[in-house]
Amino acid sequence: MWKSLKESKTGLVGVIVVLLVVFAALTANIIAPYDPTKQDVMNKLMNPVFAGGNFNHILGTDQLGRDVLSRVIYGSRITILVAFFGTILAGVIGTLLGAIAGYYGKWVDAVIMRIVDIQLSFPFVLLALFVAAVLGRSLKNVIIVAAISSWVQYARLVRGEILSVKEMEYIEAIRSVGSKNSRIIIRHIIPNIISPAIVQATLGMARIILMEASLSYLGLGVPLEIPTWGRMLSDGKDFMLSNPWLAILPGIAITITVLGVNLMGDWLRDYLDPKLNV
Amino acid sequence: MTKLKSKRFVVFTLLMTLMIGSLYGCATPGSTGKTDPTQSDTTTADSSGTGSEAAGTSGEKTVTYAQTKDVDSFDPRNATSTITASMMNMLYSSLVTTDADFNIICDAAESYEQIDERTYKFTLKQGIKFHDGSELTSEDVKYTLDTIREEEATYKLKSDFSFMSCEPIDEYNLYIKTDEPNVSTLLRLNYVKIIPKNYVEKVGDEEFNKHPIGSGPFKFVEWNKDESIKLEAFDDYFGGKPKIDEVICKVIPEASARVAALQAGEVDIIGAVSTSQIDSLKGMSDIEVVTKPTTRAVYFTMNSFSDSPVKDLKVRQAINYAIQKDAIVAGVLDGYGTAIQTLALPMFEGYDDSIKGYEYNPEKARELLKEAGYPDGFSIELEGSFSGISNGADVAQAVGAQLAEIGIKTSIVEKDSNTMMDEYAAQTTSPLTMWSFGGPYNNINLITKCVLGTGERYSAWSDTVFDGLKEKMDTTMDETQRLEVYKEVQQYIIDMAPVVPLYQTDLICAYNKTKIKSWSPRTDEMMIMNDVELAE
Amino acid sequence: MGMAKYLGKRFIQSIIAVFGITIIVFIVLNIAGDPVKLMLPDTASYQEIEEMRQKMGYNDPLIVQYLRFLGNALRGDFGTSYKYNEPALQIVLERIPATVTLAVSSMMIALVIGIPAGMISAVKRNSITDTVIRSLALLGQCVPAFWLGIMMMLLFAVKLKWLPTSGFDTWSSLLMPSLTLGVFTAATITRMLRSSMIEILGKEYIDVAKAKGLGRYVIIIKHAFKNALSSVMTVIGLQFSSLLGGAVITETVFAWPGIGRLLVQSIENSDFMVVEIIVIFMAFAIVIINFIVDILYCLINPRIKLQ
Repeated sequence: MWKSLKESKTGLVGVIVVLLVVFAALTANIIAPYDPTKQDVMNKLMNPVFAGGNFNHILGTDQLGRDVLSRVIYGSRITILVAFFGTILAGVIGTLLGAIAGYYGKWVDAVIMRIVDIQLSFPFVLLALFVAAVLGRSLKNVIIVAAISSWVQYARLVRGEILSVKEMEYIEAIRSVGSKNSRIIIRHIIPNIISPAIVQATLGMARIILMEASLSYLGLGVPLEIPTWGRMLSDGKDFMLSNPWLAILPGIAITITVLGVNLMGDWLRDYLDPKLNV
Repeated sequence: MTKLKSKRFVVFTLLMTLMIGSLYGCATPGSTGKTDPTQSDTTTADSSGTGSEAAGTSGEKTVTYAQTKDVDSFDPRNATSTITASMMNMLYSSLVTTDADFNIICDAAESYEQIDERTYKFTLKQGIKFHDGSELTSEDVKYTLDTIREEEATYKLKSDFSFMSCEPIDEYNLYIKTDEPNVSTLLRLNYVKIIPKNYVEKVGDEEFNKHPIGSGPFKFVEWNKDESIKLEAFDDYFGGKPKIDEVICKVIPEASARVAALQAGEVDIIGAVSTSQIDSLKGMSDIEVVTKPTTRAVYFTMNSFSDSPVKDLKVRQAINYAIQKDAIVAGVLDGYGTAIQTLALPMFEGYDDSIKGYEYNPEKARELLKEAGYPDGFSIELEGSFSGISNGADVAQAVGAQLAEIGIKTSIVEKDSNTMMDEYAAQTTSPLTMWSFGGPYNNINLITKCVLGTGERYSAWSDTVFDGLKEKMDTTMDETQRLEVYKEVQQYIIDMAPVVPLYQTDLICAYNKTKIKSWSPRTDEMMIMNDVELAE
Repeated sequence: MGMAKYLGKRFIQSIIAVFGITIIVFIVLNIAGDPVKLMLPDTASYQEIEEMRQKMGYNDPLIVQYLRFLGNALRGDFGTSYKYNEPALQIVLERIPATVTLAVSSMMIALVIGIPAGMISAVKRNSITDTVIRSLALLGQCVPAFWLGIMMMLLFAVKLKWLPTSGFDTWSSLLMPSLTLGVFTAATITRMLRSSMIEILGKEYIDVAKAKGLGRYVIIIKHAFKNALSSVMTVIGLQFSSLLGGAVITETVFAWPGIGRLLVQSIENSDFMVVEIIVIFMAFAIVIINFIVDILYCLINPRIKLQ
């Protein structure tokens, strides 16, 4: 694995970015120069040091005088938690249900696909509002919303792939030998569909990171005192003309992270699917 | 826009003083008044002499402005939100109306007088035309109030106006009677927009809503829901033909997009500007930023029903001592607002600047917390519908930071106003709940009743002494005595500390001054284009 | 199984799904509260609210309320919107043209950008072109809609004055919202197509085709692209149905009078009937799109049997 990583330069970059973000999240309380919630309205809306600010606040301050660098560092925690757990939860549920639907077909497929239809036609806003109304506003609930709204993507994708894989001759062959269905799904079919699922997961992670921003924009995000990139971005949009860095900096943080996750995903796919190693 | 007004406008218990002061009505139309009684029957003569200019210009004079939300209805009997009520003020006329500073002025009425405490006599101007050319008479006023009152009627303003009735004397004279003596009759009449009896009876309510006909300065042209509304000048308007030919109201919900539209020259006037955008607007030479203090108060209620530390008077007082209102107004709102000590706003009857609330005193606050048994503070939830209050989220976080100074940690949760109204009803609001209250009212009766009265809509407190004072406030008719009661009420609110009054909001609007010569926001937060003047 | 029988079966299943969704939405909305409090002024007492609630039937058991709703709906009566005091169905129908216009135009932008980009990227794997396309696709997926929208507005409407900031009156006002939505979908399609095509290009039958001496473009188009389409189709189907459900944020930023904004407002106002109709509309739209995607799967890849 290490060897493969060394060979793939982009993969290495991706892994390093992801590790850096994880590192920032784990050590935020040590490396952040300020308390991210510490306000100082006398020094609000300071520009970053490279845009005329000073070194007290390297990336400047926001509309309440909070240190932007500290908020970006602390914000990585939420991003990691939401994106990681949201994706895992959605991926596991979606892949399993999709695989079952695709493999068994018939009424099993029909039932699962109807659940998918219901989920798809259930408006995201209504889902988010409902979870917020019933379970309150918290980080956990944002993860739940993320998972519920994205498992369908995996289910449909995996089912689609299975429909084509299933008819392949070697599966027929294994079946004729008398292997159990569950064994066929786990040992033979899932490995075959893992590569599109991983691509989907890296896409999905990006989507969930953006979703956190949308939830903040719609007022359905995590409690306000928790710094998140999404909220910084959504707060920053009002200052796009006067203080553009407030929206650009969290945007860069999101972009780099999503990029890292994707590069890592691409490498992982190549690694897991040796057929592609040309 | 903010929650209260977007649901329906607040009904107000207005003061006798105001009424008595203008008992023989229509004396002071004021500089912004849209009617001039002395010229009411000359439809072409223009009181300010700009008629010739209008005639001399061949191009269409259009004013485009942007609102945050769409109107709900074109039937004035359903006009609950501030935005809808604003539109009604352009399309319809009422017996009396208010100017930008909330003074009562005559509209369709030529004059009025109070006969007794339940009766007003109105004389209509003669020759008022509806947009279809028919004449407005007492019968139309009667019809308007009768239909609202009907048993099976479901108009949204029904419970606001069903206490009123109209008895025509002749074509131009009528009585407005109220079931009970009511000090707010005149102010409320501003919202009784007169609808044309014959037309509505002929086409029915649904068609009327689609093709409304009023007697205001502008005629309805088209309505594309959630997009735009187009009106055109009514040539035969009894107050004189408007100085512009066309009004277009666009719905632009996103604040940055409204500013962009103003900068791009697509709209001429925008409302609901947030302080974060003022700097970039002020930097532009062709844009004028205008502000107006409104009747909207922002405050926190503390839920005395919840099982939380705020049940304790000492804790509530500590919280009041811990919050530095002036710093919030200056630091977060950039000075666009006025710190308040009680729920009385500076323009209200009953406001008394000798009444001092809690000063900022964190030592005292910590001491009180210690006495209450919380030497190390505690953690509570703070909620609010922040998007409904300009800079609401920032204010809430600033308050959270100030409370953290005395050891109270807050989790700041955003909710929609709908959910919060359910919570108020079920008495399950957070220990600290941010809310705002505004609308067409000008005394402390209404706000203290709704915010602090037992079982009221936005109250998280129940206190028999206060309820008694509230009763006294409503029934004391003598002015000097009532002012004493107001003092008593405010002092009691300070002593019991059931709320943290924060500030009175400023409404911030902006317009393109290369196109618009003058336009003013209003105390009641409405956006009305009746008096807008174009630049040369 | 014959096509007709298959379609019939799917139709029945879909109807059941639509019923399912109406029940779930009905329950969810009722848990979230009823609109009575919004129908009365601030001064109304709780007693008045309770009387109104009784009169409107909100105190009946949920099942009674649902059956009443269903009965009326089956007779074509979808009730009245509390906010607008107009038939709820009409309110929703008025918004559909705006929503469909935006969904179709943004999907067209996505396909026009996404398909060639994905193909080129796959064929020229690891080249500079590939790197550029991949980076752009990644960027396209990293930018939140409201951010991209406002940025474009500032550039194209305020600075350059090429396009109107918002509205639904001219074709030019369609461009920015479509781009805002289309960019994300285009990026998704590009990435999906690239990875599927690379996978297929690595398969043995491609080598066989090459050995047979088939031309490079024939292989790319007839084999690789065609086979890669099935996974791309899933993505397109999913994206299109979510576009039809209204893009709340894009609609809000560009003041687009679509279903997404109507939905959010109706939820805020507890305008139950409007919410229900929007959800039913979305459910039908998704069912139909799924249908089409399924059929296309079979047409592209005849090895998959309809079932």
